[in-house]
Amino acid sequence: MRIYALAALIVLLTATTAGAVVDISIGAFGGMDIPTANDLATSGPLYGIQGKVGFTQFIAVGVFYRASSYGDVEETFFEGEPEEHTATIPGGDGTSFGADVYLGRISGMPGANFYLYGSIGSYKWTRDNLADVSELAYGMGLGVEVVLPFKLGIEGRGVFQVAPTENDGSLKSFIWFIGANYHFGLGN
Amino acid sequence: MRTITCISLVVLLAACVGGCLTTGQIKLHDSFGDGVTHNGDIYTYHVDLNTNSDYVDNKDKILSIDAISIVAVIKNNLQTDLQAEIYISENKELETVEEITDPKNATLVFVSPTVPGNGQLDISWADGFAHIVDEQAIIDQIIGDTADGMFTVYAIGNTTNFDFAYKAEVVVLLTVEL
Repeated sequence: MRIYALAALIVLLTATTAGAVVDISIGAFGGMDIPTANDLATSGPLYGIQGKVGFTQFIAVGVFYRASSYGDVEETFFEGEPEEHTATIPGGDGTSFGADVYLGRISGMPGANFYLYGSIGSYKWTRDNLADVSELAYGMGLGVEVVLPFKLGIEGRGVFQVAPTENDGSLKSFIWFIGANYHFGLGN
Repeated sequence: MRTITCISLVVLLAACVGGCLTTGQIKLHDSFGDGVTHNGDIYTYHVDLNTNSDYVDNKDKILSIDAISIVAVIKNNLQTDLQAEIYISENKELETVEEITDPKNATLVFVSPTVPGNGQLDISWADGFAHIVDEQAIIDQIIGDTADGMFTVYAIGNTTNFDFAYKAEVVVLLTVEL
């Protein structure tokens, strides 16, 4: 029910401003994915691509794809004994894709554009020797994009992503990245 | 309008994920025995997870057990190849192979790869997952209405005559409330 409610909000925001597209942009980004409250993985690099469609100067919707490579965790066995050794527990890889919504200065106007960000999508965590975890994930964050006169924007964003799991737990990450977008600048 | 829309988005997102933010993934490991076992004198090891600080700190907050593995070093003292078998039971008085292998008394949870005669086998954390044969039996000892974290481990070989030394630790990956 919550999923449908959030998707409905995104559709509603889009529908109310349909026909008023002011900007389309595509871009790529790189940064870090930092698992939180998770002893089984450490932070690792993140890469992704995204596209946005801006309606008026205040609302935009988009799609994204992100891929992360988590750091490994070390564990010592038989500590203090002749058989003592340290084993590596692989952190694995995370992939997510979905839809997002932006609220703020998001139309690709030259200058600094600050915005509030929300997302819904699919998240998958894969590791050697362990079953994959695939869940719906939600994100919330803040960002700023500095759009240069020649339609190139440099963007920085911080996102807190949560993927609730079946056992009433969740997988959580703080994600930050810096990227570049090209704005087609319709109607600007 | 803009302010209301922003606030609505924040509230909606918070409602979607609220309730599961205060959880985390942890790991704990504990000894599963360290001794020599042969068919004339079967090695037993009494596990009490209540002496493990990670278990004590989290046992009332466990939401799920996500995976179990066993790390082990097994040294075969006879010429015949064997596979080591680990059983667990609430009963700490079992003495013979027949009593231990009776499903009414104990549950087989781990079968090692073949340990060569007069040889040694090291089972890593990554390999141990594949040799757990009854994960639920171990889970039932850790969480659940009747779980108290105390049970007995029995180590035997799958041959008529066996004599091996082993050292093992169980690794448990958990989701807990923070």
